[in-house]
Amino acid sequence: MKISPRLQNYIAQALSQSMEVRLMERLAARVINGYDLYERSGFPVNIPIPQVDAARQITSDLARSGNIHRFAELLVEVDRRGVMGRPVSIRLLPQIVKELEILGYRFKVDQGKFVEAGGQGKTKGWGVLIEGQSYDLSFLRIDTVGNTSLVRKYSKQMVVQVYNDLRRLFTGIVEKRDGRLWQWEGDGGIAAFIYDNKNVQAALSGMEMLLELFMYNLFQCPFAKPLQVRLAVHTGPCPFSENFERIRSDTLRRLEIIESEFAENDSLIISPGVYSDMGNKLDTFFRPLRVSRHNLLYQYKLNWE
Amino acid sequence: MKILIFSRSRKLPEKLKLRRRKDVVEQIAYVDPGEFTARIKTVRTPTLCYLDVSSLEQDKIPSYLRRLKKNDCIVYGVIDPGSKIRDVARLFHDGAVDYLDRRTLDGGIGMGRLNPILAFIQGINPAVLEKAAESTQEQRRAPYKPSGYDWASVVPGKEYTFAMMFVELDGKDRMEKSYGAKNLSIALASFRRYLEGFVRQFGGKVWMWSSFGGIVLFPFDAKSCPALNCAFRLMLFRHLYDIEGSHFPNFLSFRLVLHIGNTPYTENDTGHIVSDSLNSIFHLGQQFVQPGDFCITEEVLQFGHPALRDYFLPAGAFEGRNVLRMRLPIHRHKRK
Repeated sequence: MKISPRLQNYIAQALSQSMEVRLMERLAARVINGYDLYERSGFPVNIPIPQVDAARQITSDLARSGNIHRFAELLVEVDRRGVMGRPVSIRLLPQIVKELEILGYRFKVDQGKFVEAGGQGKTKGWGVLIEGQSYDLSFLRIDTVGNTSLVRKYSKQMVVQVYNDLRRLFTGIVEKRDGRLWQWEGDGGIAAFIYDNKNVQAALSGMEMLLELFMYNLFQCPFAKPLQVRLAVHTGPCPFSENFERIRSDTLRRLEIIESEFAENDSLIISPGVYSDMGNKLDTFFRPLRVSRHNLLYQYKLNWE
Repeated sequence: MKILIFSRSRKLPEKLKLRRRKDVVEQIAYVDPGEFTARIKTVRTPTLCYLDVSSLEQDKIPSYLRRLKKNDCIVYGVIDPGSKIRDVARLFHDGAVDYLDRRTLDGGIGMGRLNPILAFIQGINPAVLEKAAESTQEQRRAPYKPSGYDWASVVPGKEYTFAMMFVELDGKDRMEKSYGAKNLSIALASFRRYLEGFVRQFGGKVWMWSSFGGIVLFPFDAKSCPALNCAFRLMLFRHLYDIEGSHFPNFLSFRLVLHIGNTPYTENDTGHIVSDSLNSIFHLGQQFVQPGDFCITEEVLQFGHPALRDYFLPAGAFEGRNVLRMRLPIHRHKRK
């Protein structure tokens, strides 16, 4: 996560000029569980903490715990909606937002969140996930059908070119919807989604990938036969790590099973938890698929008249 | 050579499976037998005419065949699914070059049948084939006025050949009734913005617009037709717009037509433009194309990417032009 001394300075000033110490502490406790300002600052509990000292201490603790962005989002919310029905105007808020933009974030008004603006600075954790902490995420997995035979049949150069194209297509589609590529291994990979509508975003990315691959096969693919993939979406808790190999997650294990055992070639398959978020337009694209006596999955496939 | 088929059967194009082939067939047109007399008079270039006799009265058939025989530029065949012709051999004695009965039609004929027919014509009337070859050469020098690869050399006030795309939302009356005027105008404006952004990637420009649809122009260089790729993608990806971008609560349906034709280009005052191609594309979009369909005129396929050819089916003729319809992608499992 990127922060700067100037950002910390703006937040400390904003706190000290906009609210009392009690409110500062309550807001800090919303992003750092059990936050105790007296304990952190070392002031005796019978002595009031000066506003400036309180603001500096809180800002420093937020920076250390990696929660500056979440706190900035909270300040935007407080400025808009107040606290417990009481309006609170946050000073220096435009400067805070601008400073975050300089650091490569943009504020998504509909979600009330700062997200990475794109370009070169994209990180796997959107610049806000903390190593080792668990999050509710949606995952989209893609795998090439018949990788072994493709590698045997075509030259290495051709296969590498096609897989690079596949990765470029996949990454573009995923990042367009604020997803992040967490892993890529030659012929396939996994993307993660965290923001609102994460299940919808992951499913739409999978659908678009199938359509883009159809166009790629029509116009560009150098193979004699169309390149085929299997796609799957599943959602659940998962710990975050910059190093994908270190992640141990039942959600990712289940995702792999869904994709490898139940997804047909050239299809996207989603789990029931994902399907339940599809809404009444998107759910019309998915066909239920009974995979065992008690389990259903849902499939999207492109067909032609 | 051109192929002209006089028939009322809507299923015939599917059965015949005839396609243009640069070297042999420059045009295929389906015409209603009611236009027989007028159409025969205009045939000045070598043409293989098929007459479907199933909708003709028995005693009128010889008269139709005589008029076909009279025109030096015409060689003809007979389509006879109801076995109205009693003496088939007599047809050939009188100059016919082909005869298709029900069984032959049901089996499908395709382009493979043309080679033996051409060989047969070579034996009985080689002059027609020579004229056909000359005509094909002339056709290749067709009077296109290419507008170029992009808009750089397009000068307002001059006439150019463009790839023209007609687009119109279906269900105009229903939408006007169901949505308030304000909501509808917001949704329509958002659809237009989406379309503008989409066609821009292929060099297209929304040229004429009136609430529910309009005309998009793409520069045309007489070498390729990226507009076909654009319209194909528009059809394939439209449900993603429905879900992610559309302001309409229901799934949108629209008709598309793509045609290559000439028009004077102006940036303003488009209401006064006189262009046969422009008229045709409006008529085609509003009178012929079914809701939700994408149709093209034959020339488009000639310049479009060859990989797209399998995704278009003959859909009949309209105002003397052969029309093909895109096979539709089926994404949705249940309708709402």
